[in-house]
Amino acid sequence: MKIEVKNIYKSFGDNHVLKDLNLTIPEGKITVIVGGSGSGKSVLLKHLPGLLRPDSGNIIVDGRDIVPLPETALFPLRQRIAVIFQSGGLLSSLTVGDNVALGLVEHRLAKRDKIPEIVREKLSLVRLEGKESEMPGNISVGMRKRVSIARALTLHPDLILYDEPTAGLDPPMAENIDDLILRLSRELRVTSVMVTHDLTSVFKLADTVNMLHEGCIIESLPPEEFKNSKNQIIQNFIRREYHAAAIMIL
Amino acid sequence: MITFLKRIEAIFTDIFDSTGGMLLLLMQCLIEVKFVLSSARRVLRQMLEVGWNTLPLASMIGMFTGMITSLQTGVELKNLGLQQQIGAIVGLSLVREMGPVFTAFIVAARVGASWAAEIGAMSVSEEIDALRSLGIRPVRFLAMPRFVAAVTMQPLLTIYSIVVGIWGGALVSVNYLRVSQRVYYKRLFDALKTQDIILCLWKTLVFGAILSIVSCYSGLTTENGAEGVGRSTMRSVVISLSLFLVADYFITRFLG
Repeated sequence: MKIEVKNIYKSFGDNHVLKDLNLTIPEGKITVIVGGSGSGKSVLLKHLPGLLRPDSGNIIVDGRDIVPLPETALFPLRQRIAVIFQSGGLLSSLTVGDNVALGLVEHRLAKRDKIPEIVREKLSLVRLEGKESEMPGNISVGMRKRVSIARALTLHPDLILYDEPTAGLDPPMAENIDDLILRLSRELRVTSVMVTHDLTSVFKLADTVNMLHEGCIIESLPPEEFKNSKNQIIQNFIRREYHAAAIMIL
Repeated sequence: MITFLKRIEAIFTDIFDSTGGMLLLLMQCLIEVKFVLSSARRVLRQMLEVGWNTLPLASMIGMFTGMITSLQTGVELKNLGLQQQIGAIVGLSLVREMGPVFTAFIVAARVGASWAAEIGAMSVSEEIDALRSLGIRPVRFLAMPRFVAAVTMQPLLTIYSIVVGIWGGALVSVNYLRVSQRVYYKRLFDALKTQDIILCLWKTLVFGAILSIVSCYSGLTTENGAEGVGRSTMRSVVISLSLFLVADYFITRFLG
């Protein structure tokens, strides 16, 4: 799935979050969007499946502008896009198993007797075998994110959007999630978009790194070029993030 | 002065926004009702919540409403030598007004508030966005089952509450006012008309629709974390109770 974001503006009252933002998301690659806290990364991410609408501009998904489409017309598209929310986005009233099966049940994509087997298979892909009957409130944040990924995989998405997938996780768990994202991208050839300020994940996973600053993308570079960029804003960002990471370790 | 006028403007804007939003949600629920069979489990769960789980409270409120009505009016009737009419007074009061209104109040406070809080919590924790991102319509998944449950169970619960209330009234009449059960129930059934029962059922249908739409709308439009959830819950109860009384007046006025 290929996406082009063209000249989008988005404000919430007097807060102008996105200003004339342009972004290309190539098919089959991992596109990373970085920026400081509150820079609008999650807001931008939510525009891609149409969960938010820009005030102006276009979002072209496989050649079709989704901005003017009504909500009902977006539902078929969203079945091809999976969103892994920062908090996991699991329904707290359903078990882990029911959460993973949610898309299959609601869209009748599998026979009822086959669903438990599919759930088991997806949970084993994310190394959560046997957790079907747990409630989301009783598992860790990292496990909730992995359940969310398992849920996404049941619908065989063309695009997976990750909102701060390693936020709040300890380094070993963050590495697990990174490995999972990489494996999904390579093995399933899924287009991936990740917003994060975890530089370890950025340099491990990204095919392209996009710097979001003051509402627009100021640079779009491969990881090595990004790291060695002479752009002062990027260097300040990298330095700040490494400094913050060092403080956490100490 | 300008601040005051801006405040008034904000209040009216909110009222018109909310009214439009709730009417839109009502229309969407009516459209989604055709998927009620595919959402059967969710609908049944909500019907249990509205009906079965509210029975104990409805029993207590219904019984004491009947007993208090019987006591308050019975004493005055006895002074006039008209205590034999107590069955008619209790029956008509419960069927025409107190049964539908008090039962709606109970369900709004118990179930409506819980729905607003639950859906509001889902709203602030991105669960609604997760549903939308999976291509699942929040109205079909969350609001429609509650709408169907409230509209079907509210009449049944109200009838139950009225029956318990009438029995409570009989208890007081027999033991305190010395009116026999035979006289109590004869006067009641002589006074009660089919029109009263139809009016009662209309009210319960409308009240069920109001409480489900108001609580779901409050939940779906929740913002600002835990504080927002609390505010939505409170709004849901206040708006529901107010709309019950407004609807009660107009239904009685034009259908009564």
